[in-house]
Parts: sequence; structure tokens; C-alpha cells
Amino acid sequence: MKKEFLPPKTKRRLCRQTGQIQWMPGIFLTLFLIVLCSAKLKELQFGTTALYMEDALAASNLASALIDVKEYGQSHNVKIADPERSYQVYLKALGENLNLDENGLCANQKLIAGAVTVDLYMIYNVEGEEVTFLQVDKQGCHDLGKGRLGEVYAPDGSLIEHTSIYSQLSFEVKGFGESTYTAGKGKLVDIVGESPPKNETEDEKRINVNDEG
Amino acid sequence: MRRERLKRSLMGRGFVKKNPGKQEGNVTDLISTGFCILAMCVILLYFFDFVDVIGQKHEVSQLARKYILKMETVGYLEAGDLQALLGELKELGVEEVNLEGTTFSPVTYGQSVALMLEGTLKGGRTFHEKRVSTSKN
Repeated sequence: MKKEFLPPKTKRRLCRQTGQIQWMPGIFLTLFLIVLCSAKLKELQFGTTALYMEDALAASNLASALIDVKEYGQSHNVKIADPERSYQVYLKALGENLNLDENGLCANQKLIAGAVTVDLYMIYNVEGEEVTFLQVDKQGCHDLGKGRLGEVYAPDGSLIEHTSIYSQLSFEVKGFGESTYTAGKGKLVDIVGESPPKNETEDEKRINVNDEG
Repeated sequence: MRRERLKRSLMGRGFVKKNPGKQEGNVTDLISTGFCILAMCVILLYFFDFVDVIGQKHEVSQLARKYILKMETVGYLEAGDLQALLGELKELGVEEVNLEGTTFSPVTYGQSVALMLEGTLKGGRTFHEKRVSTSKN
């Protein structure tokens, strides 16, 4: 029997082709997995960048922690005598730790997309119960005043207990595609001297001799 | 007779199934599902490989941080520390380690100390770690 002579309902049923809906869930799940894995990898990348910056900041802060050795030898006071020299050492160490060029651009553009800028560099000198805080930048050293030990806090909220250096950076990280985000990182490092040797008094010497006898 | 002729002509045009008891198979469903599962497995394998390499690099960075702090205290990388560093890198699976540029001889207070690490991670990926500080010795 020819198709033209068949009723319309039968003709429609016979002319229908088999669909391919079984591909839909599979392709959907595969695309979903690709997006999920990309997001997770980007999150790991941001975490790696944060750790990389923190390591570089800590190392650069410690590199610039150059105390007055003579004063330490005399009074066991840990004090950074030359803040501007410390700042120069800090900048040099930061450039080498982050592999920056003269424009502040990182060699590894996948982690840090733009220039790295030093937002803040603070020195906290602790002498007894007094804390002197200084801010150093390209214009020089600025004395911001004094405070009492136990009452002075760094910009990240940490309490100043010993002579310390705080620095803060800002930089750009790459997001998805061509998008970039501005991020910041700050780090405080303490400089703690060894406790001075105890001088024995005459009574203590006599007691020790009697114990040994 | 007429019925048989009609059945044969309809069968020829595909209107009547040749073997009505048999059901249509679903091999194409199996192929599509299998293909998608294979694609997802490949994606997951690559993902875990990347995560593994990132984790390994992180461990190497932490080692570099630990040893630069030791070098700050002493003023250089001591022989004992060098052996310990190489041992720890070997445990992590790092190969072809190169420490060219590292400070191996003592320096005075305030002088620069450097730790330069180059090597190959799992999968043949090379890395370069550089840490610079000043001696507190």
C-alpha cells in the first residue's frame, strides 16, 4: 500500500525517526564535571598564590630585620636602628623572592597578573614598656608616635609584643578568562633576642658551693 | 491467500515487523553512556594529576622556607642541612636536584644568603624555587 493512501495518524507514526535523547544526560554531566574541575583548580591556584605571597613576605620581612648589634650586645635591646636601610633590604629581598622585574611585574604571570606594590612597611621598636612605630616608604621614614606595650596593634590586628616588622602588599590575580581581581596580603614578623645571662649574686655562689660540698 | 499477499507487501514496505516476538536492541544507548563515562574518567584523571603536582610543589616550597630560616641563623647552608634537604626532596619524589647559586660558605651579619632549588617533579614538570634573606649570624 502506498504511503499517500494511509491515514494521517499512521503516516505520522511511520515517518517519525528514532531520537538521540540518551546522549543528553551524558553530555550534560561531562560539561558539569569540566566546569566543577575548572572551578576547583582555580580555587587551588588562588590558594597557591596566597601561600606564595605569604612565604615571600615572611622571608623579605625577616631579611630586613637588621638590628643594632652593638646596642644588643650592651643592653640586650632588640632595636632596628636604620629603618631606611631595612626598607631597601626589604625591597631587594622582595624583588628576588617574587622574581620581580624593575616595574614590579612577576615573571610568573599565571599566578600574579599585574604589578606588585608595597602598600605599607611598618617598624615597631620595643624598648622596655614603650613601643615606637615608624612607617617607611619611598619618601623616607615617618615617625608615627609611641605607645605602651600591650596596647599597640599591627594593621592586621596582631598585638605587638616584641620588636616587629609589618608589611603589606597588593597585587592582581587572574580569574577566569581575562578577568583580574585585586588582592592584598600582610605579614608581621617578630624579632626576639635571647634572654641575657643571669649574673650570680654572692649568696647564690655560696649556696652553690655548699651544695657541691 | 489474499491475507498472506497483503502481509508480504506490507512487510516489504516496513509496516509489519519481520519477527514480532523480538525487541529492538539498545546498543546505541550503551555506546553513548560508555563514551560519556570514559570522557568523565579522563577529565578526573587529569584533574587528580594536576592536584597531585600542585601539592608536591607546595611541599617543596615549605621545605625551602624551612631551610632558608636555618640558613639565616647560621649564615650558610651547612653540610648536615644540605644532606637533610636532599633526603627530604628525595622522599617527596623530586629528581635532578640542582642547588646552584645557594650560599654554601658562611657570611657575616646582614649579608645576603640565598637558597636556589631546581628540580623535576612527578610527570617531568620542572620547578625553580628561590629564597633570599640576610644572615643573622
